[in-house]
Amino acid sequence: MKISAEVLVDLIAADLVSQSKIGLVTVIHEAVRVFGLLEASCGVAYVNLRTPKYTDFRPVAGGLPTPKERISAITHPVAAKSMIERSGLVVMCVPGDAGVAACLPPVVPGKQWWILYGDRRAAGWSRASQLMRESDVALIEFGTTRVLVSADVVEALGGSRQLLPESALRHAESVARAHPQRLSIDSSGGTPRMRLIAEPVRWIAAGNDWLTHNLLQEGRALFSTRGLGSLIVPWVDRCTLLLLLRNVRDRVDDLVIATEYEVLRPARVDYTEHGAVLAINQPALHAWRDAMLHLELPRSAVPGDGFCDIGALSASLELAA
Amino acid sequence: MSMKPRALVVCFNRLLPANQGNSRRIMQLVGFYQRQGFELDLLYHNEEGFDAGLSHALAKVFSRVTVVRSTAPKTIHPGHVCRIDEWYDAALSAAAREMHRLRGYSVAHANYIWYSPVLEALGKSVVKVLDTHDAFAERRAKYLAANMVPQWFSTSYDEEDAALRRADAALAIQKEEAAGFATRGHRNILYLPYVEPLVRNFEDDRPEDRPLTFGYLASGNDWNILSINDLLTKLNTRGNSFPHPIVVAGGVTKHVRDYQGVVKLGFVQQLHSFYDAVDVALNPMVGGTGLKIKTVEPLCYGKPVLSTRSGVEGVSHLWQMPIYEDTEAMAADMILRFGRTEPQGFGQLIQQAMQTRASLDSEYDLQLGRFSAWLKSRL
Repeated sequence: MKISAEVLVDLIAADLVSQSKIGLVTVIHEAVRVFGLLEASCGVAYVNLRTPKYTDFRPVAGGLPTPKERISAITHPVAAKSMIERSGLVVMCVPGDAGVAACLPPVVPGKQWWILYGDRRAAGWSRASQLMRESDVALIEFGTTRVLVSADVVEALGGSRQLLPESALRHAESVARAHPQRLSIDSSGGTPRMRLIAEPVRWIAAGNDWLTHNLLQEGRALFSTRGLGSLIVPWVDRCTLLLLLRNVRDRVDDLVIATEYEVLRPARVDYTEHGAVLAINQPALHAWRDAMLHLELPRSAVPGDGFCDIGALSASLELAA
Repeated sequence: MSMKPRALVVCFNRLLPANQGNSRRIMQLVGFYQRQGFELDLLYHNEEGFDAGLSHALAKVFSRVTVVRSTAPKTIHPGHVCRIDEWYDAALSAAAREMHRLRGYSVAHANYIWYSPVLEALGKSVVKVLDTHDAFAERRAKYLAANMVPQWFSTSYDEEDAALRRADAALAIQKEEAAGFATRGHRNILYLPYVEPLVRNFEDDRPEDRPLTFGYLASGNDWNILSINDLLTKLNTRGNSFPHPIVVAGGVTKHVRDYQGVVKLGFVQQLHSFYDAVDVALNPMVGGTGLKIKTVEPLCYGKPVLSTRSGVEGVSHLWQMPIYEDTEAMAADMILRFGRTEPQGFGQLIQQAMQTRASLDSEYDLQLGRFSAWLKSRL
């Protein structure tokens, strides 16, 4: 399987929480992430080892969205430590930089289950592995990836082979069975493909208090009044995103889409009575950078008396052999 | 360094600006938890609106605000019988459970008995407090006894008992209510009265050219309308009309009949603008339930209160000003004391008001101390 270690860990963790009563799940990452599959299965808290510049949200059934639990270990080390210590499962992307790894809060190894993953050459391994009880760990390596997990995780999954990339499809099928409204598996030319459907507010990010305030008030995944919108995408792998843009007042073929490194064009735009349906071929994103896409709508498409928003969102990823 | 403990407050009330009695009670408890070192989150069951202004104001007080739309059917069965499971919104349990999982609460504080099921959504590690605000078992009977149509929530003793059992501590706002709950076998009742800080001292500071002025500030509920109209009728059917002005303010104003000497102020933006304009507050309640904020509110603004026994229910053991059995007796005494051009005993009334205020403060400090000690023992 040519999926990244991060998508594999997202699948494993989502499968784990679908099967076991785990409690709070915390993801530690130096960059901004949304673990799309895990979030489809349960509420997730994030501890960031660099201070995030964006606010993102979780939907509330029957109510208005609320900010996600996303804590900076730099500005709020006590809260980050408390969050980790309250967790039943902690997933961590091991930082590549030793300086960043030094921001990890001094957690006392406890009853948490851990899944640590990253490049085996990452400088943060030494610091990260101190968070786990030494007697209780299992190490799995494939390619340049290392995964270090609590023995309890291996036991709950039914053996260490369940941590290998070859098990990705099995985990995906298990998560899809548990959450059929969020994840489906189909086939693209014989290659299995998973399609994740999310509530749009789950992936939208607000870069300022003004947009945060409006978003919490409206309960929709809003673009700013200048037509700017940011998404935290669920996977860092190459995948296809489909977005329904609502309340656009003009064609959006000239929409600008930017990652941290490159500017993209939409692969396709279809215009429907519900809005513009945008297909984006997302390139693979850097493992330690924010997994974000920034969109800028043409000014002519932005209404003068309201907001454009994202009405529906999905991401498709091939589990290529 | 350790994290501040977190508490979750659950309510349906528009808390800010806190211009209703129940909102002010809740905000008083919010202040209490803050002083105890808690970080507070709010689960707001949106029954009284949610807008940009409220959102902004709440964000200054609470770390997290989760808003859930109200979809409870709130059925009132024949005979004015309500069931908690028809007034409670199950979406609140799901929201509270998720908030607790993500935020980890030490204390959950729910308001009103039909919100008690939310406490069951939280784990055993959470200390559960229920502020009852009122006794709701057979509350309808009080209305029927006064020939009024029952309003709002009323339920059976069994339902109220079940609600009280969901909490580790249930707060009663009146001593009599606390005693009533305890009589029914509840051992988790704490009495916590409602008193606000003093904002004006007690002194006879009325301008020389202003006659002694009486005042009544109340919302437009049926009890208030009945009570003030009853008193005004009695004052005006005793041959001579009462010689001092009576200022009526608040929602009740538009329901007050026209009498000589009655000044209808209507809605007041600031409470002090009303209390600065009056010398003696009136509280002629002929019945009612729960917290009667107008009984204690004037004492925050340095004004004495003339009240019926119904009006001082809950604080009568601390009251040192006159208490009248009914509006008939109240009107008679008002004419006797103040019917002349030069009123008698106004200075004495102020002294009694000061003593009452001191008693209320002592009682509040004592009971708050008990609640605080109980909370500390549970954490």
